[in-house]
Order: sequence, then C-alpha cells, then structure tokens
Amino acid sequence: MTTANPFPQPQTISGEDDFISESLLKKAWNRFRRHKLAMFGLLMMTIFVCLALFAPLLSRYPPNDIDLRARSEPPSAEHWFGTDRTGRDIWARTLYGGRVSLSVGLVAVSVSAIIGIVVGCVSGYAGGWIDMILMRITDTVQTFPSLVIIIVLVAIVGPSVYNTMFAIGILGWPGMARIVRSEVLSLREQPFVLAARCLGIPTSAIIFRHILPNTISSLAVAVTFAVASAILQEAALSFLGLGVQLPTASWGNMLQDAQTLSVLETMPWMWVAPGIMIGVTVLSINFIGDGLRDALDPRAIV
Amino acid sequence: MTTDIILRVKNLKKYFPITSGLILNRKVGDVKAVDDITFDIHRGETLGLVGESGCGKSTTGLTVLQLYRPTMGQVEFEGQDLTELKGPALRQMRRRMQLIFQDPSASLNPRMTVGNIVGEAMSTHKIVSNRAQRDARVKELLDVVGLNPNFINRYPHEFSGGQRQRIGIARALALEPDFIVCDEPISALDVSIQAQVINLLHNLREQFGLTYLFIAHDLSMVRHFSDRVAVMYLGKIVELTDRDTLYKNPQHPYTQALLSAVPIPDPKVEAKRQRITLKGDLPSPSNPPAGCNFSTRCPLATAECFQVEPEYREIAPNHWAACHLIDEVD
Repeated sequence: MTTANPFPQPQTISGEDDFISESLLKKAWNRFRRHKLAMFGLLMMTIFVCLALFAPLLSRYPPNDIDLRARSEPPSAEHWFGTDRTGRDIWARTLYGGRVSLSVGLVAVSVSAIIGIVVGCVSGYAGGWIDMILMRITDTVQTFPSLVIIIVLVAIVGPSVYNTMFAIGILGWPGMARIVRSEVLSLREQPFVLAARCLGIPTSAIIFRHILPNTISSLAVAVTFAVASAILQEAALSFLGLGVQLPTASWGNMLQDAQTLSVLETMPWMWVAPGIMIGVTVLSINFIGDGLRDALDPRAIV
Repeated sequence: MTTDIILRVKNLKKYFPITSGLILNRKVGDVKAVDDITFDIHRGETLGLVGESGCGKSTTGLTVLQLYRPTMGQVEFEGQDLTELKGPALRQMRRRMQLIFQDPSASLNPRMTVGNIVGEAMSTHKIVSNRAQRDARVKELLDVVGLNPNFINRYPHEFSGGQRQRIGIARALALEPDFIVCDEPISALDVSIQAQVINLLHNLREQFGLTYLFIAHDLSMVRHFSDRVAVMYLGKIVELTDRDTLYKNPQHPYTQALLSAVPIPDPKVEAKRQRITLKGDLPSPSNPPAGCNFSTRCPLATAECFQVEPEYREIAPNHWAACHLIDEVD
C-alpha cells in the first residue's frame, strides 16, 4: 500500500481475462476432426505415406530384383503379396510404387496449382481484356482431351517419371484457375479490399494478404481432388505403357500386367494390391477434400 | 474566405457506363450516380450528406477519396488536385484521408487479427519501424476507440457489431488522417450502439481535430452530428447550408418534403405535423428527367421546371440551392 500503481489499468468495455484467441487453424481442425470419413481418409493417407517413406525398412526384397526361380508365385510367407512374372516381390513393388504414384500426384498438382493461382489472380483482379484473353486460353486448354494430349506430349519427349509429372501438371491448371478467378472476382469487391486500397496498401499486398488467404478453403478442396485425379492419370498412362517405365515400379504400371487375360483370371495377386492402393488413395484424398471443404468454409468461421 | 478549406469538390461527376454485347461491349448509356456536384468542407467541421437510397451519397464519398476515379471534375485536398494523382503519389495522400464503412463485418478481413487489420497500414507507410512499436501503437488506438488493448490477437468474428465498427474506426485512425468519410457508419448497428459510436466519433473529432464527411439517411442523427448539411437527390446536391438554417428554414421543396417526414418526439406537436408526401418513384439515374431532376415528383413544379435545369446558386450567404422557385433571400 506504500507505492501507488504507476500503470493505471486502461478503461475497457470488457472485463474478460483470457485473451488467448483460438487460431482459425485450430478451429478448422476441430471441425475437421468431427468429419469421420475425412479422418478415415487422413489416417489411410498417413499410413500410405509412411509405407512409401519407409519402404526399404518394410520390405525384405529390393523392388527391382528379379528372381527367376520364384516367378508368378502366389502370396506366401516368403513373398507376402506374391511375385510377378519375372519374380519381383509384389509387396516391395507396391511400397516403392507408392513413392512414385504419390509424388507424381503431389508434383503434378503443385505445377497445376502454381499456374492456376497465378492465372486466376491476374485474370480476376485485373479484369477487362487481360481477363478475357487469359480466360479464353484457359477455355482452350480445358477443351483439350487431356489424356490424348498427354499421350502425344509423352510420345514426343519420351516417357519418364518427370515427363509424366510435368505433362499431367501442365494440363491440370484450368480448373484451378477458374476457381481462383471466381473467388478473386467476388473478393475484390468486398469492403475490406476497398478498405485496404483506401489505406494505400499496394496491389501486390492486397492480392497476397487480403485476397489469396480467403481463397484457401476452395483452393484446398480443388487441390485434394486434383491430387486424386493426377494419381489416376498417372495410373492410366503407366497402364498404357507411356508413364513410368519398367523396371521402376508405380501402381499404374503394375496394373499393366493385368492386361493379359491369364494374369487377370488366374493370378489376381499381381494386380489386386496396386489396384486397391489406387482406389483407397483416391477415395481417401476425396474424403479429405470433403472434410476440408466443411472445415475451412469461411461462413463457418465468420 | 477566412475559413480554412480542407476539401474542395468542383463539378464532380461519376458516371458508370452501361455496356451491352458480349465481345465488343458497346457503351449504351450511363448511370449518372454523381452528376455535377460542388461543395467545400472547412477544416474541423462535419458536413452531413443526406438523401434517399440510391441518390449517390456513397458514390460521392468514394469518388472524393479516389476509390472511384471521377468521370469529370476536381477534388482538391488542401489545394492538391487528387484527380491528377496516380500510384505512389496517391497512396501517399491516402494517409491524410480515410473511410469508415457502413457494414462493420464485411469491411474487416475475416482471416486477419485485429492487430494486423489496424496495424497493416502503419507498416506499409513506415510509420512504425518494427513489430513491437506497431503493436504498442495498435494497443493505444484500441484503447482510444474503447476496446480492450489485449484483444490485439483476436479475429473479427469474435466481436459484436459495435465492437467491429470500433475496430474499423481504429483502422481509419491508424494513419492519423485529417479527413474521414463516414459512409453510413451507424446504419448497420443497433440503436443503443448507434449512440455509442456517434459519441465516439464526436470525441475523436475533438481529440484529433478531424474533419468528417458524414453520410447518412437518419435526419435526426445528421442534425445532431453535423455543422452543415447537404441534401442530395438523384446525383445532385439540391440544398446545402448550415444545420440550423436547413432544419428550420428549408428552401428546396425536396428538403421540405424530407424534413416533414421526421417524427417529432412530442405527441402534441407530432399530431399536428403536416407530411408532404411525394408521389411516384425515384427516377432512374441512367435516364434522369429533363429540366429539374426533381420535377417529376415536385408538388410545386411549373412548366419551367420540366424544361430548364435549375442553377445551383447561393440564394443567401452560405445557403446554396438548386430550384427555380426560390427567390433570392436577402
């Protein structure tokens, strides 16, 4: 009581004491957690990514090693998922194939997302004839029959993992660009963007700090769906023999074996494992996308 | 003129083109949102701008701030014509004049914290040199507008409407402006909160020597808050004078009709209040009537009113109006 408080408390209109605010991310995570299918998807994807990452530790045979004494063997204690027609261990190839398939999905979609975001932002924010030209280009790319174009592209530059990633990515951006553009179009008319302009915030900062973060919810959904479709496209290409080349394993080219009727009918272990992996991966990613759409919905946040 | 004029608006026009056609976008007409208005704002005063919905009040505010570029006319801020400025020079001038929004929710970025919303412009204009300095300044401002300074890390959705409007006000004050356009700052708020926000704006005016352009459609609030009042109708100012003259002795028939609609909080007087009811609807600003804009609804319109556009003139010292029927008052 001898010393007076040198810092008098400021007058405030609320007496609450907890000022720690739940971050938007944490709230979104809480909503995501309630989505059972999305949590299932997340679990499956975590497992698959771990399987791919730790493939060398989890497999007893190198994926490309040929063992001619053990060709076309059904699943056994030796070879958990059996062997293919040249005696390679299917379990090992499924794990290593996951590395290729998942990274093709990620890289291809990163390429699409970067092109899509840039085109969408410029188009939506600039408007006028720039928008017109960019959107007509987008339309044109979108009308390409993508699988046919990818086959032609790969035929020209030669099949390889990187060419596959690039070819899928370079044709996947129009959908992304359209989503970003429509979001930007509506966001740039929002009063908070007007407020930013009024405060003299430069255009680049308005786009990066005020507009793009608000497109995250629809973008996250688009990206997850695109990953799923890129994995399918890689599988389709490899199945046709134009994607990832043997002996490198990918889920797609493992299915190539199923092209033979005898394998299809009598040796299901060769194609069931990669087939299930593709199916479950695509499904899981789609579930995650669904969950993200609900979790990141700005209307639920505001 | 002895008074110090901070803002001078001369023959300001803002037309929005109406286009049709998919490819060529031919211009087929104009929406004359603001059509040739002229007014001055003195330093430290509050100019009220009233009129019905769609008469161009908000467009006037945004055009003055160059958030819409005017079709024609000048906006001089302390002698500097803003319509000639572009890019960085204009951004520099933005420090001096700010805007408070009608909708406090939509005007705050839902993904930014209060600290970022209020502090962003300080960093952009290099008013503060580091994060700590910025946060200290933001806290100061939150305190000024009556919010708990510790709310700095919260998001807009965690606040009530009135609190959000206070955040908007804090943001407008962040750059220490001289002039603020208040675009219906209270019309989205509850009545009990309206008074709080008005009192806050009032105190800030005293504290920081602010000049306001106060856009509203609540005539009683404008009377309470403004020094001078301009009445707009269909993109034009029909009457502008000091508050007391306008409310006691309105000259333009539109102002008279508008004021006759204000209820009087005294049952005896209210019972005797004569309302001037206007007939018809507001004409389209893309196709305004010939002659006087108001002629189609004016109870006193004469043949002249339908043909000749009335001049916006000083009918008495500091009392401007645009009407053929007003005689010079000496």
